[in-house]
Amino acid sequence: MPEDEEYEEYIEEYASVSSIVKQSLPLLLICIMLGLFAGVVLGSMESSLKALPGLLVLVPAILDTRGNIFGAFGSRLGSALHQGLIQPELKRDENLVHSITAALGEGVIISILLAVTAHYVILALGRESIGIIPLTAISLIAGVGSGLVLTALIIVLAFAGYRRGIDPDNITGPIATTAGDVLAMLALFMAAEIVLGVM
Amino acid sequence: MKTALPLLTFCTLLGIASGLVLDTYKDVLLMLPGLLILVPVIIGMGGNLGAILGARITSALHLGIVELRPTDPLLRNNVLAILIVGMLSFFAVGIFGHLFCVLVGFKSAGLAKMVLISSSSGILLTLIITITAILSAFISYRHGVDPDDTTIPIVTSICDVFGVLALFGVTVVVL
Repeated sequence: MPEDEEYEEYIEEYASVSSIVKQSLPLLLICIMLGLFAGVVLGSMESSLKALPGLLVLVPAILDTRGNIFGAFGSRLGSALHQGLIQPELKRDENLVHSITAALGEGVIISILLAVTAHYVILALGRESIGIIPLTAISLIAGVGSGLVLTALIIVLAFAGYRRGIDPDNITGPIATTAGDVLAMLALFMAAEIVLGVM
Repeated sequence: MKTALPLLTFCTLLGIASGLVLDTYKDVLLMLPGLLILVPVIIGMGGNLGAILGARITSALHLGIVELRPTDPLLRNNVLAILIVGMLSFFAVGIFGHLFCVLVGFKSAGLAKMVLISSSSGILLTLIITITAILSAFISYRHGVDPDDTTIPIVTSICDVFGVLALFGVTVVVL
């Protein structure tokens, strides 16, 4: 444990209580506003939530996987930009196509897995589910729909930021989690409406 | 993709557990949309706070400047800062949550109760996150696993489940 001046300085500069609070609070306030907007969308789904038992079970997992999958996608994109493997231009690029395919592929697999698991767990607990097909359809439409928009958003913002000297590593994570929540809720809302319309 | 899928699956299962808790309280939620609008933001903020604390501790571990003891200055500062940020944030969640409800015409539990519910469940969640982040970072590091790979996914998943549990625990007491 280095108990010297350098250590004291580090604590003073990077780990003082006031510096941590000052640097994290503004971004968190933005996240609160967007999070509440996602909440308002969830609150507007009253009729779908009543008509489609099991839908509510999907909500936290769908929000969560957006952050996980596209957070990792953003992180890989940032590393590739830093290493010069990808140029910040919107053109066909082998590496970029690979990353996009992996993220969207994970999204499809997880969306199906999520709905199927949720359906059987709901049944095992003796609760009501709308059925494996409608649940999977909702999860897939919401997952793929929000995934496509989120992929485009992350690429455009990471490229634009990188060209202006902003480190994509500092922005893609919060975009993936916060914009992910909003987009996932909007997509879930639309997916529920579509499935209700078909049923 | 091969390395990501097992962890994603694990996170999905915890997400479903969290969804089942929500589903249990579905009737209360549909009666009081003011509570429903808090759900994404409480889960999200818990994850954000945990990610900040987790990232800070793992960097300090890699730099070799933090030890797992209550008197460690870096650990103490980080924990104190996250508790302060957590309290301020969840207080704001209650106030803005109520305002959003009024704005879009949802039934709110009332400003005082929204703030009380959000702050109490938020503080409870922040404490759970703090302990989870510290333990998962130190335990990973001690076992030779890079805490950067483990801490944040563990914290955010734990947060999914305990976020909704804290919300409903507090709601049952308050309402």
